[in-house]
Amino acid sequence: MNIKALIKSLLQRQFLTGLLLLQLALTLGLIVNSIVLALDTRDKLMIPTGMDIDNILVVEALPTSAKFEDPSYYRSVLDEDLMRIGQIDGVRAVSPQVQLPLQRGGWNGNFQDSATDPDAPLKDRLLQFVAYYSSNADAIDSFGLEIVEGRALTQADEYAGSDQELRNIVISKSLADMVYPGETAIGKLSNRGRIVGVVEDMLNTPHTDLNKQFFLFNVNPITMHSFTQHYVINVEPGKMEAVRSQVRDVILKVNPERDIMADYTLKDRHAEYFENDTGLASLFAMLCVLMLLVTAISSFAHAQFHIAKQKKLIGIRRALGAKRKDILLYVLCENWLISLVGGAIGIGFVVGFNIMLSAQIEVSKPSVLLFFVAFVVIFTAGTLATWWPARQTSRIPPVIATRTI
Amino acid sequence: MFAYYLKLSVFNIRRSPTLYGLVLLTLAIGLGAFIANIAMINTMASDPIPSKSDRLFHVSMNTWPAGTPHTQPFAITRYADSKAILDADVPVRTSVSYQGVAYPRAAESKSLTRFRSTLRATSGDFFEMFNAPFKFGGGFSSEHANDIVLSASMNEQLFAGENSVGQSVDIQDVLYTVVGVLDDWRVRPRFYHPQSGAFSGTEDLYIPLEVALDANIYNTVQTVSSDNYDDMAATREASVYFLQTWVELSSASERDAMQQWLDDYTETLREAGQHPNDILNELHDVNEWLEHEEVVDSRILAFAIATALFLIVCLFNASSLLLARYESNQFETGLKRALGVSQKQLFAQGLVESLIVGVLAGLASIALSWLFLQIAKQFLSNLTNIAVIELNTVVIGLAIAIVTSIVCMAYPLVQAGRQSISSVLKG
Repeated sequence: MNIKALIKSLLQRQFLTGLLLLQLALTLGLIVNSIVLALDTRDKLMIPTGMDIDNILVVEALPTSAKFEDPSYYRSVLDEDLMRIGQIDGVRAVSPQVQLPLQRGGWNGNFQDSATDPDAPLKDRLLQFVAYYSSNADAIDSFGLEIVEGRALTQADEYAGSDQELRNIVISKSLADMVYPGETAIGKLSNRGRIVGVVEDMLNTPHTDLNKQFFLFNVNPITMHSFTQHYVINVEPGKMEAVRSQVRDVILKVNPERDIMADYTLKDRHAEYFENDTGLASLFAMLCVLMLLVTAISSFAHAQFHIAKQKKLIGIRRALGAKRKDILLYVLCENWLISLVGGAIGIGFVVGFNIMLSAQIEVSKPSVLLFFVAFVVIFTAGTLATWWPARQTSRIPPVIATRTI
Repeated sequence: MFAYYLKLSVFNIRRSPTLYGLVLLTLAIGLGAFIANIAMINTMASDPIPSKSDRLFHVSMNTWPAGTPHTQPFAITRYADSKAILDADVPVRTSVSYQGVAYPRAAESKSLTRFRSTLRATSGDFFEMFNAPFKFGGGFSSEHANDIVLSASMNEQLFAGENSVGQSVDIQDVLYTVVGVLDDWRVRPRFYHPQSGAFSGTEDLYIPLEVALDANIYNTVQTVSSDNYDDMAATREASVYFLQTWVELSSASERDAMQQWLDDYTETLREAGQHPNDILNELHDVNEWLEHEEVVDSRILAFAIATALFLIVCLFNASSLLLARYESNQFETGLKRALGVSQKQLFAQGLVESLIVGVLAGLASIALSWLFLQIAKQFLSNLTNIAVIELNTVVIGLAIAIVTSIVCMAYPLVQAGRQSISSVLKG
């Protein structure tokens, strides 16, 4: 096998060879980065939420009548809503919320121990944005969270005033660990109230540090007519559909002057939160499919039109005494050489494309392993696509192959 | 001659349908994905109000009352500052507004059904300033009148599309008189308030700002916890930030005068001890503001890079296919040259052929790009109002298709012309 002759023959067809090389490199660049995006998305979707998202239903309602501007009227309706929803078969706990976990930001404020100087800088930037879940005593149960220290909240903890000594709160584990490292948070007084319990973390804001999910619960349901009320309903496994089908009517039966804007599970919300990521990954996947389609067309065309031209050359070689095996090896070597060079250029394209993408969106760096896997797949596909037509051609007797016109 | 070339090209294409079919398919797929992307970027990056986009300015200020350092001025303003700008004589017109949600019904209607709708509470210049087209009636009679302007679709819902000027609409038990009905009004992107969805369309209802504050039409706000307020009327006195403030200047050159006015205004605040942070007032014209708010989705830009690369791959493929076609045609080309056809003429004929391929591929790719956009909407639901093909996209798309087709035909054509006649004819 003469590599020099091989390279020389490839250089004679430099335009075609160049096209093949660039195409290979671009394909690698696109496919590897698409896989990186898909894997990134999968990682995000796999982040534990800390909640049984399949079995938590959310119903959004907004009052449409001016009567709800009176907080005590609103409260009486809300209490009856909660009672009626709680009576539906399969409902374990229900709470009213003005915000939900898996959010990008909502009702929040700063948090610090009362003993610290209010003007001192906060220990962590995220302590400025501690989410308040102002709700009823069942809020923690409605999200299915466990108390890890201290006690849960009860109806007796309800307090709407501003004297923080009288307000009892339950804070998240990571918040307790941040503000009170190495000591218990129970009994401490913060600028948001007295800490009576610590609850395990749930995924409140997935885009921030996963180890800093800062939130707190207190008992003080929000009854502001212009805010969407979210009823968070923890449902026994298997009863979701049954509960979901009744809950709208139950709420409207208590008082029809509400717009039930939506009902969805936290799983739906989870999928929606990550829709931008999954959507983009799907778009790239679609492009990869198209790329494969174009590659298939190109292989087919190559076999159809270029091999026909090669026929004569192969015939001459055969006439000069080359064996079929030699011919096959020659054609394959040509392909392997192109694949290897294309793969080498492809490394540049993979990295370059990744840099271009990361200027626009968040995307991880491609791994060497991933590149090799993609390369091996393309290499194998290329070998098969070359081997088959070459085998067909080499079967033709030299007499026929060398005949002109 | 063109007609003859055309005839010849059609003959050529029909003679090898598989090859040209594949070339067309390859080009159309690549172009389709690319044009779909161009369509989305075209919608996101277009100038929503070209006649005066360089004279409308968004006002950002840094009047936050607490001494927390903000590196960027606020996009939203408080009532007191906006009111001062409304009363200033530098701008030709000023619009101060905010968005809310309302549940209106026609007061005379027998049905008690209310419709969920978006509402914009605004000062009176809004309609003229932003070129809102009226179908019936006009703007507010005064800043304190219970007037309402309906969008075309809301008028359709409440009054079946009739001229409803003079009718009453009930929102939260307050009656409003319809003074105007807008025509179909599309602002894409909705530059005057991109933060609440640049592509979610214009509002359904419009009422005077002062009336909305008194009626306690609520909106999410930013405020320091020490500044308590019980209802929206009380936000007039407090440092509650929620308003979008825009000014229209007589010409773009008035910008410096407006900037000076803002700086002077905040300087007086500072002298009175009411401006603890740095003086930082910014004016952005419409297109600067859209750029500042990053209205063009970075994900779509990322995808645009990918589709552009993909188009190049498709172009390479088509080119290599055409090269094969010219090589197999060598004998015929040689014969033509021997009979006296010049290289120039051959090239011209090839150009006509690539023009035909380009137009065909362009048409197919526009159909394909429509399909891609439908798929993109399935994957990313927030693209719903963005993934649309407008007429200028079709024109751009066709132009790109023709250029692409000529580019991919160029090398094979040159190559074919270069062959020496004798060697080809010898076979």
